[in-house]
Amino acid sequence: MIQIENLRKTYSGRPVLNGLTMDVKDGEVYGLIGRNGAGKSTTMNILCGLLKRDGGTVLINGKDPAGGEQVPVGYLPESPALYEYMTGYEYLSYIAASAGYTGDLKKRTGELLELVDLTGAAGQRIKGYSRGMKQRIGMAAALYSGHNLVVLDEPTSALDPQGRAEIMEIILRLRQMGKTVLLSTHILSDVERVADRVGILNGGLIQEQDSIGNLLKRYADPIISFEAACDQPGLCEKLKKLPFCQNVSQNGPYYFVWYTGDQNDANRALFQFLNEKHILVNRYQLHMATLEQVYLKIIGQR
Amino acid sequence: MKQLKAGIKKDSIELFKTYRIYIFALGFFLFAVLDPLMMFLLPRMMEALGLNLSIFELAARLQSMALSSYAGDCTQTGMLAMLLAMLSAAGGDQKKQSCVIPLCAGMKRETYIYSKFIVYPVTAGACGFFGYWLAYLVSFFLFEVKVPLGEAAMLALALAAFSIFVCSVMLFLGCSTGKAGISAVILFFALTIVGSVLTMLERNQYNPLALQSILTGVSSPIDLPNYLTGLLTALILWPLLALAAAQIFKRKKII
Repeated sequence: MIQIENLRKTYSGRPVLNGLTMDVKDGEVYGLIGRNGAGKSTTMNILCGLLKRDGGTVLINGKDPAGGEQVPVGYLPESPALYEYMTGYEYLSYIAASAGYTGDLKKRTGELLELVDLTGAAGQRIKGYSRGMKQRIGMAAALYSGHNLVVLDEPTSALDPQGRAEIMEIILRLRQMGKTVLLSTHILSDVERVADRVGILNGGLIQEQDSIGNLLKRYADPIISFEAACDQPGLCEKLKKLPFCQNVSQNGPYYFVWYTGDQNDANRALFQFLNEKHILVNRYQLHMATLEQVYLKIIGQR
Repeated sequence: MKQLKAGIKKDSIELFKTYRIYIFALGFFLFAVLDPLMMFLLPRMMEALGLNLSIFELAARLQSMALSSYAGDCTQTGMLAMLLAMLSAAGGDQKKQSCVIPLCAGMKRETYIYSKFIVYPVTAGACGFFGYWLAYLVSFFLFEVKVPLGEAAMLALALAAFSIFVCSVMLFLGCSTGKAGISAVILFFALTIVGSVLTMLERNQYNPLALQSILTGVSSPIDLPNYLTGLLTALILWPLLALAAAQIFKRKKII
C-alpha cells in the first residue's frame, strides 16, 4: 500500500528526515512512533502531498502523491480544522463530493456517522461538538476520502481517556473492515493496543520496523520479581548462577530476576529452585514486557 | 463538475451560516435607504436650524445627488465591510488549515478556488445591483428631478461590476498570499489612492476603478467610453484573477 524509501526533508537547513525507509502493507494498522519533533507529521504531510520532499521515493498504491496525479488519502491532522459552521452531515456530504463519491450518499453518510457514534449529533453544528466528537467526525471524513488508506496524525494526543478509548475502538473497527491505517502517536499504550506493526522513528530514520510481538521478543527484558518471606543471605549470587538468569537485583526482601528464553521455562525453573532451597515466597509477579521498554531501549541505544 | 457544485454549496452555506451575507447586505442595502433619506431631510434640518444654503436646496431636489451619495458610501464603507466579511474565505481558511482534509480527500485545488470566485463575487455583484435599485426606488419617491431609468440601469450595472472587481481582487490577493487581513488593508487603501491617481492622470479607459468616479459623479450623460471599457475590464478580470489565483494555489505550500 505505502512504500517509502530514502525519504529526506530539511527545514531551513535542519534535517528532519534523513533517508527514512518504511512500508505499510494492505489492511494493516501501522503505528509510527517517535518523540515530539521526530518527523512523524512531516512524513505524513509528505505522504498526503501537502509537503514537498527533498529526496527519496514515496508511493501509495504505486502512485507518487507529489506527482501530477492526485492520490486521495483519508487524512486526519493532529488538530483537525473543520468547517465549524456546518453540521456533521453537511461536512461529510462535502467531503464525499470532494472525494468523488458516487454511491448512495445518504446511506453511506449514515453508516459512517454510526461507525463514529455521531448519528445523534449529525444535525448539530460542528462548532458545538466536543474535542473528541470533532476528532471522530474528522475520522469519518477521512474514511470517506481515503478509500482504503487512512492516515491519522496523533489522533488521541489532545483527548481525555474516554475520548482516546473511543478513537482506539474506531481504529480496531477499521482493522476489522480491512482498512489500512497509518497511525502516528507518542502514546505507546495506544499503539500497543491496535497496531499490527510499528516503526520507531528517531534521528530522521526508522530505527526498527516489525510486529509488536517480534520487537518485544527481541528487545524487551522480561522480569520476574518475588518477595522472600525471610532474609536469605547470598540468594542473589545463587540466583545469578541459574542458567536462564541474566541479572538479579535486590531491594530488601524483594528480588528482581532478569531472564532469557521462554517465560514459562524460566518461571518453572525459578519455582523449582526456590522450592529446592526451601525459600518461602510471600509475593510473586511476572512482569509483562511493554512497547515502552522496547522503545526506550531502541532510542537509548542510538 | 460535482466537486464545483459541492464547493459552491459549501461556500454558500459559509456565507449564510457565518452571517457574512448580512454584512454584505448591510453594506449595500442600509445605505440604499439611509442615504436618500438623509439627502432629503438634510436641507429641512438645515432650514430648521436657520441655515439656508442653496446647495442643500438643490440637493433636496436632485435624485442624482442621492444616488451619488449612496454610491460613494457603498464604494467606501460598503466595500470595507465586504472586505472584512471575506477575510476567512480569502485565505483565512488556508491559515486555519481547514482546507487540508477536503484537499487530501481529492478536492482539486483549482476547484476549491473557483467556487469562492463564483459565490462571493456573484453575491457582491447582486448586492451592488439590487442595492442601487433600492436606492433608486427610495429616492424616486423623494426627489423631484429624476434620473432616467436607462442611466440608473447603467449605474446599477457599474456598481455590480465594481463590487465584483473588488471582491475578485480581494480573493486573488488573499488566496494567493494566505494573508487575508493584510490583503484587505492594502486593497482598501489601494482602491482609494490608485483610483484617485489614475483619475488625476486621466487614465480612465479600461480602468475598473474609474467606475467609482462615474458612480459618484452627478454629471449626465455618463462618459460612455470610460464606462464601457471600465465595466468590460472589471468583468474580464474576474475570471482571469480566478485562473491566476488557482494556478498560484496549486503550487502553494499549505502546511
